[in-house]
Amino acid sequence: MLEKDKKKEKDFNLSKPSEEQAKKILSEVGYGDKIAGVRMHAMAGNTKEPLGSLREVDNFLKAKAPGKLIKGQTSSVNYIDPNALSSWIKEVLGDSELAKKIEKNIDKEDDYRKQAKTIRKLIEKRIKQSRELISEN
Amino acid sequence: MKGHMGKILRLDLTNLNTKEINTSEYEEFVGGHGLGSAIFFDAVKDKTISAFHPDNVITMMTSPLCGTLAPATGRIELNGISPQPYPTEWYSRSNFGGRFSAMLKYAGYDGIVIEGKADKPTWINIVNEDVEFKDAESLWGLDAWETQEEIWTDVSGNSTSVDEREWYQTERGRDEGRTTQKPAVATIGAAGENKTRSGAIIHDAGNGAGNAAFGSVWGSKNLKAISVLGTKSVEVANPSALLKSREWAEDNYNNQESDPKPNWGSGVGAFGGVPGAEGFGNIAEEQVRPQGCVSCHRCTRKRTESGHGNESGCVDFLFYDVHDEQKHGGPTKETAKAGDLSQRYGINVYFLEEGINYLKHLHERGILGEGKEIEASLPWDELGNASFAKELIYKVSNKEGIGEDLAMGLPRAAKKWGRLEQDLNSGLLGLQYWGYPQHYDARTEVEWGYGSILGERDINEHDFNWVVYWQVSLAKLFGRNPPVKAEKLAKIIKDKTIPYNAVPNYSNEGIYSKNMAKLVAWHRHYTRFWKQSLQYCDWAYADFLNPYGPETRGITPEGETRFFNAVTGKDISFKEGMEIGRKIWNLDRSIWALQGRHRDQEEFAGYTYDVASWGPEISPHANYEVPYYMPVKEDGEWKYKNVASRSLDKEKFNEWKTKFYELEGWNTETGRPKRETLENLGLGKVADELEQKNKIE
Amino acid sequence: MVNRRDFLKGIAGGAGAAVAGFALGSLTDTIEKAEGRSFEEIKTMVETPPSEAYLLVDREKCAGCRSCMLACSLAHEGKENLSLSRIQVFEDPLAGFPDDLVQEQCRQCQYPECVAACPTGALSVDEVNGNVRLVDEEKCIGCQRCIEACDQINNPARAAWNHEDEYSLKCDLCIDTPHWEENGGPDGKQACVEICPVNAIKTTDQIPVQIGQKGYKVNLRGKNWEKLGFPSE
Ligand code: SF4
Ligand code: SF4
Ligand code: SF4
Ligand code: SF4
Repeated sequence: MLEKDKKKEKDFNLSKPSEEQAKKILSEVGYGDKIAGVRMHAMAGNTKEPLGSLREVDNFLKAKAPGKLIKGQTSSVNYIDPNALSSWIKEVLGDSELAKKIEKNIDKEDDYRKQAKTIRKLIEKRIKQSRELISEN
Repeated sequence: MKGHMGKILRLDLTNLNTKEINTSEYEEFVGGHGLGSAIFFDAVKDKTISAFHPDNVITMMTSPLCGTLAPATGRIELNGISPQPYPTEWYSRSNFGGRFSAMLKYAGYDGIVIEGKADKPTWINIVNEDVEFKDAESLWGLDAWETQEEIWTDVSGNSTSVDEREWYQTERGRDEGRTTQKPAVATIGAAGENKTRSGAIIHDAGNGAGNAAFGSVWGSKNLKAISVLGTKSVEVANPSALLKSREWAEDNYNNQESDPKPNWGSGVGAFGGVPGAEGFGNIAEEQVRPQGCVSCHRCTRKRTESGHGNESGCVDFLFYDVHDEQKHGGPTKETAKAGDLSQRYGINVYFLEEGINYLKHLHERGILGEGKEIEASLPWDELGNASFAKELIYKVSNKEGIGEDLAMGLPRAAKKWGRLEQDLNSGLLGLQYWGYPQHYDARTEVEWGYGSILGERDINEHDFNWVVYWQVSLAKLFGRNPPVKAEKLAKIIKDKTIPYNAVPNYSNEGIYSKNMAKLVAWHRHYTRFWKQSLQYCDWAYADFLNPYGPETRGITPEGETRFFNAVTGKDISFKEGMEIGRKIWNLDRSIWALQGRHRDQEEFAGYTYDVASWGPEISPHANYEVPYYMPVKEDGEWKYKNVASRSLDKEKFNEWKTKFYELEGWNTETGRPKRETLENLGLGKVADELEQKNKIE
Repeated sequence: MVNRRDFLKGIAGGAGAAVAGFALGSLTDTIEKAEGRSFEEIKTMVETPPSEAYLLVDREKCAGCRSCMLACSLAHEGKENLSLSRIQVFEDPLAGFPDDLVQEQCRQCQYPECVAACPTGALSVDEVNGNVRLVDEEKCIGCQRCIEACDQINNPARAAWNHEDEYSLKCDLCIDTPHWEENGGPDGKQACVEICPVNAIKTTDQIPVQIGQKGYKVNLRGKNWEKLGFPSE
């Protein structure tokens, strides 16, 4: 592995959560604790979608994958403010490690598509990890 | 005027007879909205009647350009008193594309005036001069697609499949002409039949006049459908100039397959946008084709392999895709199927978009549901599947269960639930102007909000929107440079907005300035004539910036005038067209005055003044700035700036209104046109009526 | 596709053989008929010199905007009327792609039934103008036999009736376009080709392979079309 790839890999390292933490990470939070996703569309304006779990956040970001935008055909963007997201992950899901990794990684980017990709990679890793942990026990 | 067919058809549903108006009587209003307003003004004596009153009149008007090669002029304009706006049922407008407008002209008519009320379900069959009132008992209850299939077969006596195609009308064809074309049918579904306040008029698979709910007015008149088939010619004053202009536009301003630039400002607007950009289709990985209205040079919709989502565009599927994505992790055919349902039931998709969001919030807050404060049985587990959309659409269209309240429209339903004021103040219910769902936000992109509140509905005009907001915000979001610098954009807009030369300064001062009044006035007058009267489509005009245009400049204002003059043989300047637009806008304004409009009513929903534009309070984590970059001039410098955290200052907005009224020559106390203003526009007769009714000072 | 010379060579050995000959390509299975007729029928027909150009249309690319029809009517007649267009596009808006639309153009048949049927010689092979099958409006007596004859092999007929000026219309590849400044004809430009916004019509000097009622097997879609999210295969 190249030195720079190793470094990159490290940026995405997440330590194993406890079972209790994992449950919280995978939980669905109540209405008053949700984060909002904003669906921006060229023709239709912005609408706000309440999102209550990491899975929902991931789905929301995944649905408007960057490739689609390059084709210029789906002129919409699903937007979540990265800072709002990391503080939500920290405060509501109690996952400060994931929050910190997100903050650190997105700082390097000014292209939202790349930020969203990074965020998804981290979130998906965390979801997988937590699921495995729960099914193990 | 060349391009006119010379006759307007009056359909009297009460007496089941027809009359004709000579188009030349109204020639000064040219077409579309202008013709509609002028005829409505004369035909409806008491403008204060309700939308469902039998004396309400619906006009459907084409323009000299419809059915010709003038690019993207395949639309038809509808006018009449609308059941949708809140609190007053304003005189309003709507519009749909496809083949209907062109076909109506080939049948020999510039427009249709629908009057009275039939005593039983009726449909109208127009084949050239022959106009027949037909019994629609067997069509009533069929959905919009089934109805059209029945009528296609009935009129053409032919299969609907393209592989069994023939020339129709062969028996009369020797003298009257034959056609291979299907009759163009406009029809309503259950939402219109049952007089909800969201009934749309649907034509072919996916053309609809949704906002304004004229489909419900048809329902109240027992009018199920109008079918037209024609074989006449539209006379063109200067055919070779028209062909040449079209080639000029194709070569210099339209998207080029050899050099696709979809990424340049998103590929959507305006004149040079890529084919299929509006349509549903490939986002669900289906094979598709682009599809266009008659004469379109850019063909923005799609048809799909499965046929699901055919011709549906924009909000036809955007009302549901986000729910589909949340359920399935990406867009699936469920979204397309939900779009199909909106077409079949003939229901306004803007109502569905905001309605589902609002109901979802109320449901999640434990206010709405089975045994809850607002009793509602809806299959929330199915949200994201077409089955949820079906249940909701069915209930609203048939006024069943929660649908009975929702059929009144969102503002009236919320009022019944005792929630209207509170939810408008918090922004939970995003109805910003006249009970219409907030489309673009009055707090950020003011020209959209101002235009809507000074009018009577969500304007739904993207003229400035692409270039001042979308292209810029998207570029900023993706770490790119916007297509042009703010200063250049301002200059191009200033040059092109003849004759007012508007400056698009969206800074905190700029939005309350006289310049913004000029920009909004230009927008009102431009759209009233060039778009809503001539039927130039919102997907192509106005064209300020164009990736293919010389020095990235768009086709406005050269294109609009050039095509118009080639077809009509007139030699009008862009400015003269703007003046006709001003006249039509003042006529509308007078109709609203007669309906009781006063400046004090021209206020946005409470949240516009109290809540920043990031929207309603869901949780402390849901309030953040969404990139909303717009051109601003601050300290003498042009730049793009994020204005997302803004709310409007009520007092300043009211001072701005005064500036706007002054500019328009309206009374600043009441907001009503002055006699002098109307007389200068040749609307003395209108001033007289206002005076009679005490609506002029 | 075969070029004109190959086709002529084939004809020398008998029409049936000629058609069967060029059908031996990838389309052997699909070709049972050519120009809407069986090979048996073709053998009995009069041979005419092939047209020097043909209009090709791509049913899977067309967007149904009718601009080609408006251009055809305008360039020839100076007015807009879908019934006066020599190319016909029609749709079933409710059907699935690609069965929702067809473009029907005159094929400049090798064995033009329309020419054979015309009693006055008004419809003839115009040797001065690249052998295009052409109506001389002055000579046309309005018997409409050409339309009926074309209708026998094409659904719908590609020759049509101008009910306003009372003569038969068919595609002349834009040889006679009094209302268009460009030079048309087999070597020139065609209004429909120029105006089509998605390039779904083209001309060729090669005799196209024809598949019965479905017209030609034509693909005018390329890489850039695919980039826009549309199928190119
Ligand atoms: S009009 Fe019909 S028969 Fe004549 S050349 Fe054209 S397609 Fe063939
Ligand atoms: S209609 Fe005219 S062109 Fe056709 S067969 Fe008769 S004479 Fe010939
Ligand atoms: S080539 Fe000319 S005559 Fe033939 S269909 Fe096209 S426009 Fe019409
Ligand atoms: S102009 Fe092109 S896209 Fe439009 S109908 Fe004709 S062939 Fe199809």
